[in-house]
Amino acid sequence: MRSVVVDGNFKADHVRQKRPEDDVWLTSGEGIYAERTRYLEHLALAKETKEASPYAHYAPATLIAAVRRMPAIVLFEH
Amino acid sequence: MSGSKQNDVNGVACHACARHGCYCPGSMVDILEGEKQAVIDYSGSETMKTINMEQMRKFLAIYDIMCQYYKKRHLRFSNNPMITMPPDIKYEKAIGQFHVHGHKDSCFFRFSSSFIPGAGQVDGEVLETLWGALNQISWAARTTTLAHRAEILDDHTNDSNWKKLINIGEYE
Repeated sequence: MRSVVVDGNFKADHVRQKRPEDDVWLTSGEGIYAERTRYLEHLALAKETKEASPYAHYAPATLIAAVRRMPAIVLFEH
Repeated sequence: MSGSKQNDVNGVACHACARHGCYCPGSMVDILEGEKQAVIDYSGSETMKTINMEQMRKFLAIYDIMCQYYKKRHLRFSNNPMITMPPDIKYEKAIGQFHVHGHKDSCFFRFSSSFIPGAGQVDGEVLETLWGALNQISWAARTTTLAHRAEILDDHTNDSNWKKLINIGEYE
């Protein structure tokens, strides 16, 4: 069994550059750092396959909005 | 500061060996904005490729928030062609010994690494100590270009691995 630890580090941040297009990538993906273009492709794909809301099957959004707009008396008396 | 509008990268995520604390090659990825699951998924997928998983039957991942990360993990991996998981390897889940005591009681019994056969005695917090060393220099990479930042972090993580390798016989 291989055991690995996973963690994020939010101290190693980076400030936006004025001209990021001038950046020169001498290496990418040869060391500890992951290959950059493939990683960005992955992030774009991962956003597309977002799961639906857990309440999507429960009621249509319009119905939920209608219930929210109802006065409290209507909700509690019926 | 992390999370501010001036940032394009909010941090890094990484895998490291739980036994000795060597950074896993190819596993360090930028955290651009939230998207934590996708970030860790990719890091884990790259880790699988570089840590010599042939002839291994199990893979133990120790993560602070494993109790919510592992849910639908197999779906994320099957839906996304960019990340792969070897099919015949059992994915063991654990939470580090520091973080598991901050969770619900049920998390301790389900995810504590001390109850996992074959895990040995690992605390699962080795990356926190590695971050402590890396944070001494990572502030210097905040205002460099992204390429230079990647090189700085690459060099220092590689140096950490190298020093660990050559000093592993030292006893104090």
